[in-house]
Amino acid sequence: MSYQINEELLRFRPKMAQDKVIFNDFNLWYGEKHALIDINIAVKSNIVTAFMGPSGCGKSSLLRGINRMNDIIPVARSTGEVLIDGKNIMGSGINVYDLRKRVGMVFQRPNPFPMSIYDNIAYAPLLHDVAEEEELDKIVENSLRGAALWDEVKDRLDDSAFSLSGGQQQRICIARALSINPDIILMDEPCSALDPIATIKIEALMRELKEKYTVVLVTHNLQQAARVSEMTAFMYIGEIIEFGATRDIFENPREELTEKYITGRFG
Amino acid sequence: MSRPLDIGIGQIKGLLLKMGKISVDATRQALDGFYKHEDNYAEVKMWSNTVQMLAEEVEDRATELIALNQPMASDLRILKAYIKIAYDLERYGRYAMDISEIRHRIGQWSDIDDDRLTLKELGEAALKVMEMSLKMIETMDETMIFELSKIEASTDDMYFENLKNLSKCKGDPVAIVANLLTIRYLERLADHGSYIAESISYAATGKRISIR
Repeated sequence: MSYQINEELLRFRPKMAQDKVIFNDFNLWYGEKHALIDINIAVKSNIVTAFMGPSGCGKSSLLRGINRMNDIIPVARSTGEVLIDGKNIMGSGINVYDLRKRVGMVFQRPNPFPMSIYDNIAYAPLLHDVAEEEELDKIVENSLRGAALWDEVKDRLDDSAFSLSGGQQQRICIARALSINPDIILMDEPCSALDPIATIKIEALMRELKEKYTVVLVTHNLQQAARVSEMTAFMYIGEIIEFGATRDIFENPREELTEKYITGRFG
Repeated sequence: MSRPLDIGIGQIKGLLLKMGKISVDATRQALDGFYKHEDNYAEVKMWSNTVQMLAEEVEDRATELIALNQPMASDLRILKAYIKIAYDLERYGRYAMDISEIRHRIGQWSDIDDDRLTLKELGEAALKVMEMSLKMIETMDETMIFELSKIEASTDDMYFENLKNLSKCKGDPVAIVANLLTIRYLERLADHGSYIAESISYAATGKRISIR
């Protein structure tokens, strides 16, 4: 028997996935500060894409470009395009509330609402009128299952969300994001306030979520990016220095700056 | 300021060079015993065991460094290469022991008088490959792989030439067996030299190349 191992087969091949989010010549300023400079990348669907880089490099700003959260910063202005499924979300006539229904977001610190576990999940579907009251039970259950939390909270849905551990609270926030059935989930350092056990659960969840959603992750934790993402962008002072398959970035980066950053020889 | 990882990587490199030096000396000693019909198996075996012990030390330290420092990029490639190289150097020591064991196990023989046999040249070429591989570990100079691969290829040629000639040889059967085993071990020693060169090339450039 003869066989050949094609090294390409052993690696993630981004060309096989579809473009979900495309940044075209995207620039962002906070007042005079040029925070994002000529961003041109495509985020593929149904994978985890990680943005990494030193503090202030623009990775969270780039993430917020996907759901136009930068709009709420008064001094922010931008040029260029951000396409989701081919449609420019920066264009006129885009309803940002509809956009944010499609793009869920999870933040650094778990921020459940001061209400019950059940109401935390039911709140957004009711607010966005995406569900009748009788459908809510199913949405809550599905969302909590999607966030791998159902078995832990199904008998205490009326308890305050604050009664949960930090890791569980973060998964409540993920379930909340899932409740409005988004296409894309943005995660801005979702594990930075969590202990190692809770972090492992969130990372396992990310791997499951990408089966149904496009996941974009901002992380300071290089090992986390290496563990959970298929594609990684390294950013520095507002620019994408290198963007490619995660294994290539962490094993054999093309750019010297990337090498210096990930080996701790930076600065 | 040195990173703790740099110190650890430097220590492992030191262990590898020590393993390599012992292995080359042991191979030279084993060949010398072979040519002079002297039984130096006990001493060469001791050196081989020392190399094996050091290989385990390299593996332990590299694993610990990976677990504690979670290295990336060139750091990770170097540690992956060092773990592989430790195995290749262990094989250096083992083949040296195997050569010295021939005389120990099968006794004396009458030398074969045949000009076509080039065991000594093969021995020198294999030792040259081994020494070059150590130089590559020391300098991380991946460009040496090309010169090394030429010498390694010559050991292959000499091995097959000697194999052919030994198969037609009419000398002492014990001598034929002893020579046959030795040329085989020398060819394998040079092979492991090329594996080391490939590992250093990968560590230095991130590109995997094969010279086999």
